[in-house]
Amino acid sequence: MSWWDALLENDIIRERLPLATLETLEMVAVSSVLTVLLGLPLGMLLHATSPGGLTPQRTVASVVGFVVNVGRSLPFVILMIAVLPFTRWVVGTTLGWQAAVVPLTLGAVPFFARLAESALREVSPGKVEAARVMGSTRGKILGAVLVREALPGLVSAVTVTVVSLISFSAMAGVIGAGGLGALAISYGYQRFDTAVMVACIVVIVVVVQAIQVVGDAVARRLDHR
Amino acid sequence: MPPAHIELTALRKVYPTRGEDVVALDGIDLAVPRAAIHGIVGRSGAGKSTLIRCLTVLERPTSGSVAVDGEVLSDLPEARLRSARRRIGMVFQHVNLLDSRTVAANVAYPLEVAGVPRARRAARVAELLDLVGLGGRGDSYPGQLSGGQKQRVGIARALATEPAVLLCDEPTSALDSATTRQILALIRDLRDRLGITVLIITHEMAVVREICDSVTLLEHGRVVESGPVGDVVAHYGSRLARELIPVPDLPLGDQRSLVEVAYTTDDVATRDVLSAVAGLGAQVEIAAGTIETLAGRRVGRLQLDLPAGEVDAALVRLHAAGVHAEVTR
Ligand SMILES: Nc1ncnc2c1ncn2[C@@H]1O[C@H](COP(=O)(O)OP(=O)(O)OP(=O)(O)O)[C@@H](O)[C@H]1O
Ligand SMILES: [Mg+2]
Repeated sequence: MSWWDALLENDIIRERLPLATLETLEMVAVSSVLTVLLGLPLGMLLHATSPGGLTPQRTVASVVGFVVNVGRSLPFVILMIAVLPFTRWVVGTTLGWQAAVVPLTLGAVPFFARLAESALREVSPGKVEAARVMGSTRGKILGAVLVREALPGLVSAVTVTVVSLISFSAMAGVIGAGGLGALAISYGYQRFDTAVMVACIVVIVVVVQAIQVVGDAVARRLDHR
Repeated sequence: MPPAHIELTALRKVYPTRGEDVVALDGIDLAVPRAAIHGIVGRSGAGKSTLIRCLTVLERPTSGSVAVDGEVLSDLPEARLRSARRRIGMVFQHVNLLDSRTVAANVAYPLEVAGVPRARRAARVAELLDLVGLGGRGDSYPGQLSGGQKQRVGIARALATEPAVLLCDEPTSALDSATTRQILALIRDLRDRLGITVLIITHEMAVVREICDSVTLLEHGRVVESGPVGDVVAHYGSRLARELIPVPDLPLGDQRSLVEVAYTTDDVATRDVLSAVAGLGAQVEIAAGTIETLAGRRVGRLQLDLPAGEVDAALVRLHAAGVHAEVTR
């Protein structure tokens, strides 16, 4: 009997692994999209209000910067539990992958916002100055110069964030989010089913590799320097 | 004199800093006539970049005024300023092209900003790329071009909205000397064909010699010397004259002095200067010398190495021959 057959003989793997994989992918996909939708504007705000930005605003910059740092300094396990009431209010329940999207997004937004801010900071001030001399509005500079020029860096930031979300999603499995994390813990850890544990690890590694390869390829495509 | 096309009046710019305020520009008056190429030179920190930033009003002057083509820019509100800036083209030392856009899309950028319809943009871009000698390279990315080609794209982009004025901040400082020549020739050619007024900031005297009609020396935010290149070089003792037509500094023997002789061929022919020098006697040596034609004026500069005791007599005879002469050491 080959190892492959042995894996398929395992009822847990055959019946629950595909579903758990799907849950993980759904949870990560939805929270990634929300993270980018919320984190990119936040990163743009951090960049624009910083000294030397498009509209330097010392107070706004320090308040937003402080909030983002607080968000980043909370360990995910704690954040996840601390926001349970908020999660219940938004989703109606604290169980299932849909509920996990809330803490995952809240945890990833400040992280992604900082990465986005530093990608934007990589755009040379000379390009912004040139755009200003050509009579651009601030909106045009933000979209056509800053974000567009930072796009390869922003794509890399998205890749890093998605990979982190996968690892956070496994932690969310601990409090009932389902997915590969939950499967690995309830069978691999609590019932010593090593095959399930190994299968979960393999799937996660493959997914992370795939995301990294695609993310790098897209970033390279966009980079014309 | 024709009316000034770029006019700065009592321009001051003070940067408030934590310690002492930095006076970057301290009362600049400058008038550049239409279709002239005017150079601004000065050491690092003299205020050259600040001057150009005030001209585009990226930096609001602390006091004084900036006028381009008869319109005072320095007190326009931001929205009016944006459209006024379309009449100013600017070329940068580091070109500042957008790497994510093709060459054609870079040149189209100011047209987009100005609201030119897409159909007309393409034709205008092709025309501009031809103008700077890059016809057919529109689909390349800036990353695929050489430094000189990038600067050509930068110039095409600056000219897209048909500005009346072209401002260049160190446009050739990142280029080798052959490429510098080509870019300067292009700028002069564009001035001749389009009749635009060019202000060019540089720390290279070669740029001034090559294309400038007039030049201003800036120091500590003030105008120290200024005028048409032909006049400036005829002010033999001036700093600009010495830097535009340099003669090497020389080691000097014991009991010897150095006398500098300068003249233009408007006043005295080179052969007459040389025979006057020859008449000073066998102890007088021509240690270094340059004869150059700048702005249509031929200027000569000689360093005479002579016995300290003969200096006074030599000066009298040289002055009598109609040349400028002074002891430098
Ligand atoms: N944003 C600023 N804040 C404070 N001081 C400034 C600022 N920009 C320029 N300065 C000061 O103003 C003076 C003139 O600077 P400027 O950049 O105009 O010099 P420059 O002639 O262009 O020099 P370089 O040849 O090095 O480019 C310098 O003393 C500089 O330190
Ligand atoms: Mg400068």
